[in-house]
Amino acid sequence: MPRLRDKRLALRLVWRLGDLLADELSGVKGRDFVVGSAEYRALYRRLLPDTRARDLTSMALQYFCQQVVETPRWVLEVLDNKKPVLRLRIKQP
Amino acid sequence: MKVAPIPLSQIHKTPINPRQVVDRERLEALTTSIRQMGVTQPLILWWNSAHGRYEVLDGSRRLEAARRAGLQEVPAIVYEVSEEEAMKIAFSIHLSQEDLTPEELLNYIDLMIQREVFKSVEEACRHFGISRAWYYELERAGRVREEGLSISAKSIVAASDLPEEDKGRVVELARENALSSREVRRLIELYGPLGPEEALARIIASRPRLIYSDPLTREEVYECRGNTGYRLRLAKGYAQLEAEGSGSLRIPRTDIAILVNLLRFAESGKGAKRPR
Repeated sequence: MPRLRDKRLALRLVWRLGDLLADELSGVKGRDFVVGSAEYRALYRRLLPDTRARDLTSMALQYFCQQVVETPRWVLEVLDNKKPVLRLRIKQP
Repeated sequence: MKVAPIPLSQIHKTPINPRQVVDRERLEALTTSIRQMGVTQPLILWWNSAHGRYEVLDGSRRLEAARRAGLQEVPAIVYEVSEEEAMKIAFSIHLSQEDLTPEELLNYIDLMIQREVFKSVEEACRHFGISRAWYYELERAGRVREEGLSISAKSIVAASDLPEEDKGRVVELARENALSSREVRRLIELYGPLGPEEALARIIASRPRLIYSDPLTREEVYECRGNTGYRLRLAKGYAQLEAEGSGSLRIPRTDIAILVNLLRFAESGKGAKRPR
C-alpha cells in the first residue's frame, strides 16, 4: 500500500478526481450526481489503469480531504470518506 | 468584539473555508494539546442566517480536535455578516497562515470572483493589500493541474464575452502553449481583432527568452521581441534594461518591481502611467 504524507499531493489528487468526474459527467443530463464506490473504482479502472492513482486518491479522501471541496467548476462533497461515496455538483460543464 | 462560549453541537464546518485539505499529523498534535490545555485561542464563527447555524471561518482543526478531546463548548468570536463578507474575512484570516497551499489560496480567489465578491483579481489583490506580482508568483507555484491551465485562467475565459466556440478554442490554445492567466487575458483581447493564430503568435513572440545564464555569477540575460523589443540583464546587485532604439537603464535589483511594471505597461501598448 502506498503512503501519502504530502497534503499538496492530496489536494492535487482530489482536484484531479473532481476534474475526471466532471469531464465524465458533463455529457450526462443533470448537474448533481452521487458517485458510489463501484463507480469510483470503475472510473479509475477505465481512465487510469495500472497506476496507483486510485489508492492514493482514496487515501487523500480518507485522511486529508475536507467534507466539501469546491473549485470554480465543481463542488465535491465527501459523503463517506472510507468507501468512498461522493456527491458532485457541476457548476460549469 | 466579545468572546463567548458556544456549544460544539451548534457549530458546523463551512463550505466557504479556503482550506480544502488538512494535515492529519498537526490535527493529532492539536488534539493532545487541547486535551491538556483546552482551547486557548477563540474560534472565528459566522452566523449563517440562511441556514440558522454557526459556521467556522477559522478554527476548523480546533473544532475537530475539541470534538475528539470530548469538549462540550469552545470560546468563539461570532460575526453576523453576509456570505460575501464572511468569505472576505475567511480569506484574510487564512492569508497569513503558512500551511495553506498556493493552490488553496488561488482557488479561493477564483471562487470569490465567481461568486462576484470581487470583479477581478486586481480588485481582490487591492482589497487584501497584496501585490499582483505576488498573485502571479503564486499562480506559477500553484499551477498543478495536469492540463496545464490554472483555475484563474479558466475563470478569465469563462467570464469573457467571447462566443462559446471561441472560448473552447482559447482554452485549447492556452493548454497547448501553457499560457499564464495574464497571457490568456491578452489572447482574449487580441482574439477578435487578429484571429487566434496571429494573436497567439504575438503573445509567444512577446515572451522573454533566457539567452544567457552564468551559473557561477548567477547572471542571466533575457530577450524579448514583442511590441517592445528589449534585453534584460540580471546581475548581482543590479538589473540592466536595453530597449531597442531607446538606450539602456540600470537600476538596483531591489527596484526590479518598478521595471516589471514599466515593461507590462509598455507591452500592453497603453504606455506608462504618468507619475504623480
